[in-house]
Amino acid sequence: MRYRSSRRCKAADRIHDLRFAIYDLCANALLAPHFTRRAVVKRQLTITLEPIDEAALASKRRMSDGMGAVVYFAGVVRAAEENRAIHAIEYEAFQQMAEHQFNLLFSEMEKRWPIESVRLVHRIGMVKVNEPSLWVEVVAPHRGEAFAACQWLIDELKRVVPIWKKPFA
Amino acid sequence: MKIAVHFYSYYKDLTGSAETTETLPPGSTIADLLKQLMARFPELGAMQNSTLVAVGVDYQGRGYLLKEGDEVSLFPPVQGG
Repeated sequence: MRYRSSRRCKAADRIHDLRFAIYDLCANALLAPHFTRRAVVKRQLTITLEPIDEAALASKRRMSDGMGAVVYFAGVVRAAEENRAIHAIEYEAFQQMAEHQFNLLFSEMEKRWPIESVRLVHRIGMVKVNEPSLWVEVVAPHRGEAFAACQWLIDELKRVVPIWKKPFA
Repeated sequence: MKIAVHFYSYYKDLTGSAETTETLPPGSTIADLLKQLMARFPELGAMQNSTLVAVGVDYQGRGYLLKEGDEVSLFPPVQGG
């Protein structure tokens, strides 16, 4: 009886060890980098009526030692829209859906590039000529992925995020 | 079934309202809803192909099967940035 019990214990231990070995293998080969990357990506999304304070945003930048690239972009209201002089653009958002779509884009970015953080501010309401309506920052280990991720995010937001503009002459 | 419909951007100007409610038979799709809305608001007709449709906060195609309580949003191509 004792012998059987001992054999069962040893068999259970082997299964236990095997399970952990498989777990470690998966974690090291596939899961760990994925989870690690997701865990450290910081997102900051702001859709606001307030003016974009680029200096304040820059002062709040946080980067870890392994990061070597910061790409940021400011989209500024031009004085002409479709060859017509304007003095401002009024931005309207379907806010709840915009936040959801931005977060879907951030998730896709995290899968495509090893970014550490993404911060995005989009203004709504009236934005005068020469004022920024959009500010995006991507922090990544290298410039290639930072530029690519930032460019992709801006292209995609113009395709799927429900924000519209109305120019005022 | 009753479906709440919200309009955004210049669709509000075209329809003269930010939201409305449509009554449709069970089994109706977004295509059926659009057909009904175009009849009620002919000004939307010219934008039929470019109109984007969301249910809740997700985009849906014309074949999406509507259900009671769905919140549908109609809007023109987006222009953020």
